Amino acid sequence: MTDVVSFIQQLTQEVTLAAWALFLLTWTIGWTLRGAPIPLSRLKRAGSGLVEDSIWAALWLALGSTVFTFITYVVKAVVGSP
Amino acid sequence: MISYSYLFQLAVKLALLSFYIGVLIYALPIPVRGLKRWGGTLLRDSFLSFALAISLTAIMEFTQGIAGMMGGSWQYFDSWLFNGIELLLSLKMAALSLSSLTSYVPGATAARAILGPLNDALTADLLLLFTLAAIEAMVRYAGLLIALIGLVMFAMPFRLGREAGAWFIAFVVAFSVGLQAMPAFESSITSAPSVGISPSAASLGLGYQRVYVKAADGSPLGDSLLELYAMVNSKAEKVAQYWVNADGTAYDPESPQPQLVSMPSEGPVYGYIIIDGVETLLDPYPFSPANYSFSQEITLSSPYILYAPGNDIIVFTNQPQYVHVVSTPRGALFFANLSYGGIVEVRAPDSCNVSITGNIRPGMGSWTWLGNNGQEWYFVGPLNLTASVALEGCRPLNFTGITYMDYATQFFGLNYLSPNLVEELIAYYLVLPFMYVATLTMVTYALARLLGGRRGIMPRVA
Repeated sequence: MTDVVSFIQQLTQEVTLAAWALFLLTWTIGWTLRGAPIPLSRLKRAGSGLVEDSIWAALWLALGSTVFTFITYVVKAVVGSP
Repeated sequence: MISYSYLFQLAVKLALLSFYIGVLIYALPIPVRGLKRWGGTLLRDSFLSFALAISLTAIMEFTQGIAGMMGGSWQYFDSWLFNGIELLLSLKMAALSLSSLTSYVPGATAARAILGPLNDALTADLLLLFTLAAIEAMVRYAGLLIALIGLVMFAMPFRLGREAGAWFIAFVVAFSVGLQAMPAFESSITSAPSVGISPSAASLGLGYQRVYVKAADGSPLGDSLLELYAMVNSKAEKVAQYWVNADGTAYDPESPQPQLVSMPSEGPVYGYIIIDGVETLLDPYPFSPANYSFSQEITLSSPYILYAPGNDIIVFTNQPQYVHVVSTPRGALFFANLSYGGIVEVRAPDSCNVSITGNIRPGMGSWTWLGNNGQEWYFVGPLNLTASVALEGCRPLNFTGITYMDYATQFFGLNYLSPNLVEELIAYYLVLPFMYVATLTMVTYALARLLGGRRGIMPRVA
């Protein structure tokens, strides 16, 4: 029974790590595309879009992690167990 | 066994997973708009799931509060529901009892034509009420569990169980408020049918028989009151009382044919007779009306009243095995060998000239019964008695204050079966509940649609 919960928790952690990694990758690819010496405006726009998305993802990751950690902290403090 | 806390934890973890998957999709280096749109959707869904998870207990408490504000409670609903089921079962049994009689009476086809559809309607109504009872059991006792399962489904990533989850939560909320408020709503529109039929009375059935009552010597026990008792809720209860004519036949003024008296048709019936203020049981004790066909004569005899020549003269004893009575042209001759506690008694109205001669002098007294007075002569055992009774100048008596208790109308409740009752019953327990439940289903659909975002899982009709 508890295995399902711990499996989802583990999955969430892996997804979080993957999201951070993807943020870095996307941000890098985005800037690479923007800075690439290829005069194609669609390519540059795609690069800008990737940078913007990655920044949003980082914001949500940071915000979400902070808020959920805070909630977990409060629950621990109130209930006494995670 | 799945605990509430486990389901709650699962729902919260799934909401978290949805959130991080949403962020992951945001962070994907693939500039495809259709894919990226899932990022925002998953974030929004996870927020809503969180909000629902945090406020679910409050929502459940709030539904109780709303139901109370609307004048409802589970106790009120239970009372309404069980009254309805009891009433319908009683009516159904009464209808079945009546339909068993229709084959014996004139106009049977017409009666069957009414009773058939009534019976079908009662069956349908019972099904509806039992369905409501089942929904109540689900919502009242497993409501939080259903809502939490709905929450878990609601929080699944990629909206896998979102619509079903929304429906589960909406069902619990709508029906827990709606069912509790249903009796208050119905009472504001129509009145509850007032019916005097109880299941215990209905389960006794209804039959019409001729009854002949006689003394131990075979003479009719006329000018007496016949009492019938039956077992109601494991307790003997008087269900009928009829006058017995001078020829020994029971008489029911409220019966369509007075010589046919109504009585239970199922189970044993215990007969008693009262004459000159003396009450004795009647053999067979008990008798079973189920063994007799419609209007067949049932003969009941008192083993203790030994001699009843008419005009309310009786000779009775509590030890019939020790007393022997022989009829003579002027009265009777009797021989008794009573043991301790035994008694032989002669009762006659004041209008009679009675002379008793024997080897023992009798004790004397008087009696009063239904407006008539009389004398009594008794011998108390142990004794060895030979006595003769001579009777002269006896005249028929007039009785006052006779009370009847017609089984069919006063106990079985036949007079309650009127068109008004059927009308009230259909309005109160069939049409309104059905419409109300249909409305609640639509409310559930609307609430599920509100929670689920798009449409509920109800199929579109048009």
